[in-house]
Amino acid sequence: MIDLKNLTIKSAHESIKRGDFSIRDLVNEYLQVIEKDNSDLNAYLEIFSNDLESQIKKAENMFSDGHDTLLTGIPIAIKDNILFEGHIASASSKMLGSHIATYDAFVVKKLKENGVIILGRTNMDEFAMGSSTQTSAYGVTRNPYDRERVPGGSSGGSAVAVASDMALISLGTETCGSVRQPASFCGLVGLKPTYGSVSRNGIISMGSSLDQVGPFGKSVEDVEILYDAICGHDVLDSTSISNDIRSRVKKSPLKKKIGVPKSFLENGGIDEEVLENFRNSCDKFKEAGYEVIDISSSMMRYSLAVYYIIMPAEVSSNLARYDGIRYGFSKDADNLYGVYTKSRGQGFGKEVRRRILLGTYILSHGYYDAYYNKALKVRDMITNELNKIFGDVDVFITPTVPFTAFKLGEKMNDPIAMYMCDIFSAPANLSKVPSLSIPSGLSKNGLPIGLQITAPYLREDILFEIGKDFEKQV
Amino acid sequence: MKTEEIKRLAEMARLDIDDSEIKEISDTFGSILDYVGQIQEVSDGSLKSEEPDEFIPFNITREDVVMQNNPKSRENIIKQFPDKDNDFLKVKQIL
Repeated sequence: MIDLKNLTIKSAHESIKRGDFSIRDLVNEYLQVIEKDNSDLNAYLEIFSNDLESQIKKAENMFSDGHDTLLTGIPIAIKDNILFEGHIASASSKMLGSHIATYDAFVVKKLKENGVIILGRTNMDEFAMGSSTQTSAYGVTRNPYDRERVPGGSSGGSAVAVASDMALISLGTETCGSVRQPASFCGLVGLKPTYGSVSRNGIISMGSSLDQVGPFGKSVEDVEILYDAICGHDVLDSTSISNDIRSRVKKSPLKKKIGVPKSFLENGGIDEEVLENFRNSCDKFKEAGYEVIDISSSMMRYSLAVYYIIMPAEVSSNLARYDGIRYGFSKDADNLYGVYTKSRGQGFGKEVRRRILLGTYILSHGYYDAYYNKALKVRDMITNELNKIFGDVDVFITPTVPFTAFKLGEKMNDPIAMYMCDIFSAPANLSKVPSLSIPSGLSKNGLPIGLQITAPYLREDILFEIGKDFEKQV
Repeated sequence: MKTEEIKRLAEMARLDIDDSEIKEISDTFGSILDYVGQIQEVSDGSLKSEEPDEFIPFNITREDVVMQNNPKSRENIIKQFPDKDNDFLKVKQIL
């Protein structure tokens, strides 16, 4: 028996090297947990059983040739919107259903180069639209801390796979909080990297000015190792940051100053218990030698409203490609218009239909200026404010989510209540800066609470450094 | 928002939606638009366009050449056409 609970990438790597267990043993241990728990938790939609053998052999060869990296032989789960050639990638939508990816995503190429074992694809909110993994066309995913509660979303399956020892690490994607929020609900570390840091080539698009791939792990170190492996410039994603720019970012030493945007927090409707936990986290930073100061913010509180204009606008144009003609779900009709409307009406689920309509409205003549253009301006003002804040402090912190995991079914009929999950996530996505969620303790009823740390553009290194300092205090 | 307006949006977005959902959407749209409408209170008159950030990629182009030449890719794309005639994608009459 391998102690999966306490296994890290480095300890697994050392054990494989020493021969304590083989890659095959490790994969089999995870498969046994999957066999036992996945039917209830529904983290995975599919295990890639057919090519696990070839992946294991390849990883074993990398070890015997001396070409192994820290990630060689490490079992990973990937979200169902990441293309892995020859395997289904459905974005948990009936629209794509059994659609088979025709090429590898950039991040999958990177995983393959490292000999990572891709165990399977995980459940998510349909087309990543949701905060609880309940809009999936393939059933809800349950939170391992309380199976009557949601795991968060949209990358809920990827979070549960790691939290319930069905994979050592996983990949999710974020448009606004979709990695950090489920990490918070499932007691994990989750990273939203700098926009453009990780290529989106081969990721099913949702909101293109916001989308980013992000890693989950049980520790900051595991997330850092996975992030280092998947980031890098890619000519196939025009928003990918060049190596030149990456190397020119000034890595100034830490000021040891952490900001708390007090007025923004007061606006967030935080549960008393989460607030108390947050205050304790501030104290822990002080004990670790950091100065924790209040910072003023007048713009951050508009982030979620800006997000719920820009995102549906981008959704309505991105999802226009699903027309029932070239691939995916197709419904026959008398004429072309009928094929479009029937395929789209029946292929998409309810939340996706709602967001497409909202985006269509926002971009329509007469409303474009009032909503979309205005939102772009306010987005710039939020970015300016964040950049100014980072002149005074290394990072700023908030709770990741104002509350802990809620019950299945809750908030499903109240979109605004559901959207509130993302209130503290939105500033980082809109401003392109990196942000990390890290476990900060449990509530009285045993549910995980997360702390969110947000750093300047391309300063993931600061997140990892401060995150590790925080981990030591918890 | 009136149900007629939602129906018009659904036509533009090429979505076949039944009447009960049209009604439900018209009910929830009001609260969503009220919420996002709060950005109107921000005065952007003072917004100074900041200097273009040298770190933000801008107008990225590349040579128009085939970069991935995977014959299996082509085969998989054709295999997944909803309707086809040999290697050709079949669509309904357009005009």
